[in-house]
Amino acid sequence: MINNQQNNNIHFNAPEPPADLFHKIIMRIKEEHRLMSIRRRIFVFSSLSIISIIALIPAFNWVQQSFSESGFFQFLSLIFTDTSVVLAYWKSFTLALIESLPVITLSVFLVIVAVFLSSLKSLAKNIKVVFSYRRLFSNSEYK
Amino acid sequence: MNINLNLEGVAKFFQSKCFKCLIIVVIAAVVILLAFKAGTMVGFRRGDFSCHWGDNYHKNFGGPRGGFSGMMNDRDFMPGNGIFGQVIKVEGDSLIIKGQDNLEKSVLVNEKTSIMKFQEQMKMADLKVDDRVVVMGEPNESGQTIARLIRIMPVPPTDAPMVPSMSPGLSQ
Repeated sequence: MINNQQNNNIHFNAPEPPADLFHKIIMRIKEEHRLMSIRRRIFVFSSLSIISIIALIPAFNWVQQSFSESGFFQFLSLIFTDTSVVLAYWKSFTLALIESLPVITLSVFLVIVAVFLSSLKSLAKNIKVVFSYRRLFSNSEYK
Repeated sequence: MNINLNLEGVAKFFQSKCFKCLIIVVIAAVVILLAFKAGTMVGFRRGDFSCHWGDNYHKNFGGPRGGFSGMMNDRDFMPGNGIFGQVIKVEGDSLIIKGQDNLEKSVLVNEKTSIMKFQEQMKMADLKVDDRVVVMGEPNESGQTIARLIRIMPVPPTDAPMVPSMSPGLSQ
């Protein structure tokens, strides 16, 4: 009889889960969801960075070719070699420069540069968040 | 007291993000409008020069009487203020240059024109066929450019032609 009662006591005194376990589990699930979306964003931004850096090479060649074909740098060099004439006829010089500027190719190149830089910025930001989460999880109560 | 509160509100507004955004929008609008104006002005000048160039082609280069306006169909309008290319003909006070867009351009030289090579002042007689030149000037009504500055550029290290093929007008 005494033995049976002792057994029952053991059964009923099983360790109780902490009161905030449910909260911790929910929090951890939420954090995992956020981490997953951040990982997805990292994938998107890293792909975008890779695509834009690959696109930068032909775009740079295109811009270089356009500048050499339009003679923009030759006109620009006049400001260093013939400063007085350029200043005297600054209107013609400015128009010559603007007319020879390869606007379309330059715009395309700058758009690709902007995409690359902004995707790199977002990528760095998201990677930083992932690392801060890891540190949080390794020291946190949600383990 | 009320005035004080109002002043604080105004000061807060000037320091707010909303005010900064407003300033950025105004600056962006000004830049866009200026770029648009510059674009239309340059486009008009290029179109005008190209039109005169085509109409006076037979006079300047010896082509068909009707001109070469049709040649411009699939081309961008050509610049009239700056020419960069190779001299293909020297005749009196005018030069014919194969330009950066592979079209021939007529350049007039007058007493105001400076012809430079390195630091030396050159004369019209010093210009030779195949010289690479950069010309800065003003377009006239006859589709020519009145040169203000002609700079003779040093010969590039390779013998490769600067412009790959001749224009329809040049090949005639």
